[in-house]
Order: sequence, then structure tokens, then C-alpha cells
Amino acid sequence: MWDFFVQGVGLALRLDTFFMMSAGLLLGILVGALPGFTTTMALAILLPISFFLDPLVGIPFLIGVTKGGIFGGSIPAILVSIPGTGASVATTFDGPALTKKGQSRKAMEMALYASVFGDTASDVITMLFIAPIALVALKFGPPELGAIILLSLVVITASATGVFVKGLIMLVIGLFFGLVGQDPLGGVSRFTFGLFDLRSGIPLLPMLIGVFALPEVFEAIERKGAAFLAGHVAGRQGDRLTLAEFRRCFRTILRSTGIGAAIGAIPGMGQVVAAMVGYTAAKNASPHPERFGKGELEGVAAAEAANNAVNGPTMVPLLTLGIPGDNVTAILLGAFIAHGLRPGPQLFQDQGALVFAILVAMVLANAMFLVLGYLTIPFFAKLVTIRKSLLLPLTVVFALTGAYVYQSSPFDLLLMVFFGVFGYVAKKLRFDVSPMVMGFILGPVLEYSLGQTLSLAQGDFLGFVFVDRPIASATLLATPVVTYLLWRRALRLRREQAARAAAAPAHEH
Amino acid sequence: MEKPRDRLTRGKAGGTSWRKWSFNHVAALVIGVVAAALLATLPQHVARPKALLGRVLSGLDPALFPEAILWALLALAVAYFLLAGRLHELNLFRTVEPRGFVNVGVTIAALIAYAIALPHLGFVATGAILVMGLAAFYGNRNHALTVAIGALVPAAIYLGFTRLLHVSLPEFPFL
Repeated sequence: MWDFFVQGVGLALRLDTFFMMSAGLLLGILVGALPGFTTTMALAILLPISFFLDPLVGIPFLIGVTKGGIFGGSIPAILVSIPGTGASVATTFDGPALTKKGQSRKAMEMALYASVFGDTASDVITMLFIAPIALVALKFGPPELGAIILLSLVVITASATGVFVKGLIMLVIGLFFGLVGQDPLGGVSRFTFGLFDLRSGIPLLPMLIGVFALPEVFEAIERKGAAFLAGHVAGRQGDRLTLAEFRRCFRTILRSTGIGAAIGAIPGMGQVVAAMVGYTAAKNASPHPERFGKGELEGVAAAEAANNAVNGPTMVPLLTLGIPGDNVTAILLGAFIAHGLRPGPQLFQDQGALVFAILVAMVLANAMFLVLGYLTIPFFAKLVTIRKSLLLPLTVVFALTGAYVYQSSPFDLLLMVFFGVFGYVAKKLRFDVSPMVMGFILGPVLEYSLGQTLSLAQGDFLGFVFVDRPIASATLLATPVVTYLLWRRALRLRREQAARAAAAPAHEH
Repeated sequence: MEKPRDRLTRGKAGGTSWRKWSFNHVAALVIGVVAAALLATLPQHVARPKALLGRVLSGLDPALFPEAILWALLALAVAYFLLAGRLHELNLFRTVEPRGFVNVGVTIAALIAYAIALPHLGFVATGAILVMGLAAFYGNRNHALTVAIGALVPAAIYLGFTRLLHVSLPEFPFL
């Protein structure tokens, strides 16, 4: 593995990689800074560009978009109390209050430094631990992989927003969409409904763009004109962040980085949870918790360090097992597959240098992130007021182009519209699409593992899995226990929500 | 006017009984019916497995996994239907004004029209028409800016993909 690391460093130091990472970072900050536009949407739309680049240029480009997008989301969260992305929700607790005090520049710089620190530290942690995990994963066969996929799907579904049974339904619908085309073992046609274009299955990219980008456009145009930001951002941005202020928040940044990194390694948890947990932990640990929510720099630092610290560890399940932990890594998986690289234990054996080159590029991207972010904060702060009546049609054209160039097929555009409408209806009816996307991606792998396990079992499936394969059997036995625990947690959260909802009118009147 | 919102608690407030029919019941029924219909017609949707000298080549019946998934979907739809009465969620379609549905409908129609027109009119022309049309429909009144962006951005995307990334896009038909 050390050899791979050394080779990876050499591979990552390319001028075109740096150039495209910078472009990705700027595009990410741009999209993140636009209220209502998420990092996932930007990634889905920009994914096709990476297909036509070398993997060592295209994948770092997308990683740049992710890193930039998460930070970019903090800009409108601080300036106008609108989180640019879901990950910045916790930043709205203190950011706008700092803006009202005339300290928006301090808040944005704190967000940048905390984001860069959290991201860099988590990337280094990932690089240290990914190789041993991959060595263990290399010993996994089809039964273990199938069992881990099953467990991951349950965890992802339980972590999705909304009611558990609705999450499970979306997961199964995703598994069904994954059946369309040919079965992974025998190449037999299934559920093509007589359409020739479906013979090779539902293409990943139009589906991703459809479910992640179009529903946001549809929601933005529901209230034509009214939803567009017309006002001006508070004029004075105030003084810069001082070293003393950064030092005061450093313990918080360290704590949030640890929290974000730990949460990132669990499939399905993601940046929103990390930011909320990081913020709550900072508030609880502070000698002045009463200042939180009223313009406390530590609050911004806690949320931003935690949400960016998720980035590195989410790559661990993706690269070692081929399991995407969230929507961002699901899209990155699409990029790997398009380049003919199938993430999983085998990738480390066949393309170890490339994997480490990507990880090294992630660390290098943070240095550029710091410089570009610092230089462009004033510019991106102005974007918060851009007119969406022009931006949305352009977004639509980018989305259509992205879906089309994948296979140069107009049918893919219709599929994208279908999934856009599906995603919009699902959102309105309170279904989370994330489990569906995970089911769609992992369903064929699960079926393939099941088929291979059946062949290996030679007729004694239960005996083979539960006696001969202890890791697979332990994982399978853990699945219902984990499901029960997660279901209980979801129930408890709903009861707490119910209690809050019941208490709310009493406060209102 | 009071804004509609989720009612996560049981009770008489609001006058809605938990037994009342909701969008969740309808969604559960639709999902259940689709799952049942697909299960009933499964042999028509899954081709026969390939065989050599009478022996099936694959270790797994290609209909087994789909059948398991559809049964799971049906079972979940039943569970969802039974739970639906307890889920006091707000159907977010109820928060959309009639004009909102028109806006979304027009956009979807424009997207479908784009997909149909793209091979005939070419990328630049179709993109320009879409950007200008939607920008005007979304309320942009700076027509000079709309025309400029509508003409320039699709052309820039076209040049970027075809010249820099060497990807083929439908050409302008009149050139």
C-alpha cells in the first residue's frame, strides 16, 4: 500500500488536475452560494463533464465541486439566513445574527477556515485508515458483500427523512428500477415494457439529474417571481477575522472535525446530521451557551467544520466496498463507473495508485480551497441576489445537456423528465428519494452477490452462509437488530417532534 | 390565514380524526395496485432464461429477485396503508397554488418539447428557444438580456462540449 501511496502522490501532481479542481471549487462555491441550489444538483449536472476527462482530472473536478458547494452554502446562510445547501442549516443559527451585527466578513472567513480545517483533517484520517480497511475488505466474498449491502441499505433508509415505511417503499422502488434491462447474471431482458431503449437498463445519469435537479427547479417556479430574492444583502461586511478569534474557536473546530469524520463513515448520515450534532456539542461544551443562536462565531465554526469533515470518510465505504453512503458519493460512484472503475476491494488491488492519487488530490484541493475561497468571498456574496428567472432556464439547459451527452440519446431526456416528475411528486408526498437512488445503484450488485452465493453454496444456502461464512452471518443477524434500533430511534424522534408541534400553539397564542 | 402544517399528534384539535382518509392511503393503494399488477404479469416482463442442452446457464432464476422485490413492495404497501391513518403529514401539493401547477406543467411540457425538437432543430437553436421562452415565462422583463443569454449560453455550451471535450451534439440544421 505504501508503494501505491508514493505512486499516487506522483500521479496527483498534474497541472490539469489542479486546474480542473480549481474550476470545480469555483463552480461548487458558485452553486452553493445560490439559495435553493444544492451541491447534489450541481454534481449531477456537472457529472458528464468528468466523463470526457481523464479519471485523475474528472474525479478531482467533482470532488472540488463537492467541497466548494458545502462551503458555498454557508454564504447565503450567513448573509440572508437561507441555507444554500442542506448542510448549512446549522450555520443559519448564528450567521445571520453576526451579519446584523455587521460581522458578516468575520462569519464567512470563520466558515471558510473551519471548513478547510475540517475537510483537510478528515481527508488525512481517511488516507490513514482506508488502506487497512481495504485489506480487510479484500477478504470479503459475495456472501459478505451481499450482507453488507443489505445492512447498508437498511441504515441508509432508516437515516432518510420522513416515515420509515415510506423510506423502505422508496428503497424497494429503487431496487425495482434497478431490475429494468438485463439481469446481471444471465443477461435476460426484464421489465423493458417493449421499449428498445430500456434494453440496457435505466441509465444512471439521466436518473440522477432527474431526481436531484429537476424537482428543485419545479419547486422554485411554483411561485413565479415571488421566490426570487429581490432585496439587498446588508451593506457593510465588517472587519476580518482575527487570529485570536480563530484560536478561541479552535477547540470547537477540532471537536466538530472528529464528530463530522465519525458521522461521515456511517452510510446515510451525511453533512446535515454532522453539522447539527457538531453545533449542539459546541453549545453544550461552551461556558456561554446562551450566546449561541445570537451571533456566536463558535456556532458558525462548529457547524462548518463538522459538515466539511464528512467529505473524507464518506469515501471509505465507497472506495473499499463500492457502497455510496449518501447522494454525493452515489454520484461519484457514477463517475467511477463511467471511467470503467468499479469501486470495491478489487479497485485497491488493480488501481491502488489511482485511488491514492484521488485521495492526495482531495488533500491538495483543500489548499486551493483556502486560497480561492478567501479571494472570492466578496464576489460570491453578491450572487445571493441574482435573478432566478434567468438562472433557472439556464439550469434546465445544463441539466438537459448533461442527460443527453451521456449516451447521445433523446430518449434519455424523456427518462430524465420522467424521473424529475417522479422526484417532484415524491417530495410533495413526503417520500425521500435517497433510498430509491441507493436501491437502484446497489440492487444489481446485491442480486449478483446473491447469485454467486447460491452458486458457491451448492444447494446448501443457509448452511453455507450461516456456518461457513461468519462475517456474512453476523452481518445478516445484525440487520434486523439494527433495523429495530433505528426504527425505535425514528419513533422517538417523531414523538419529540409531536411534542414540539403540540407545544408550539401554546407559545404562539 | 393560518398556514397548513403537519399535525403529528393525535387529538381533536383541527377536527381531523386519525381514521380520516388521507393522501397516504391513496399513495399506499396506488403502490399496492402497481405491485400486484406487476406480480400478476411477471412472466410477461421477464424473458425465459437462456438454456444450453436443456440446462439453464445461470444459477439464479432471473424472475426470483424481481418476484421477491415485488412481494416486498406489496407487503410494504399494505403496511403503509394500515399505518396511513396514524401519519398526520401534510400533503405538500396542498400548499401549491393553482398558478404553481400551471408553471410546473408548462415547464414539463417545454422539457418534453425540447427532447422531441433537439434532433431536428439542433442543440443551439433548441437551447436558445428554451432559455428565452422559459425566462420570459418566469417573468424576466429584461428582454435584451434574455436574448443575449439565450443565444450565447447554449452556443458556449455547444462549443465547450464539441471543441474542448470532443463530444458530439446535434448540429444547427441550417448550416
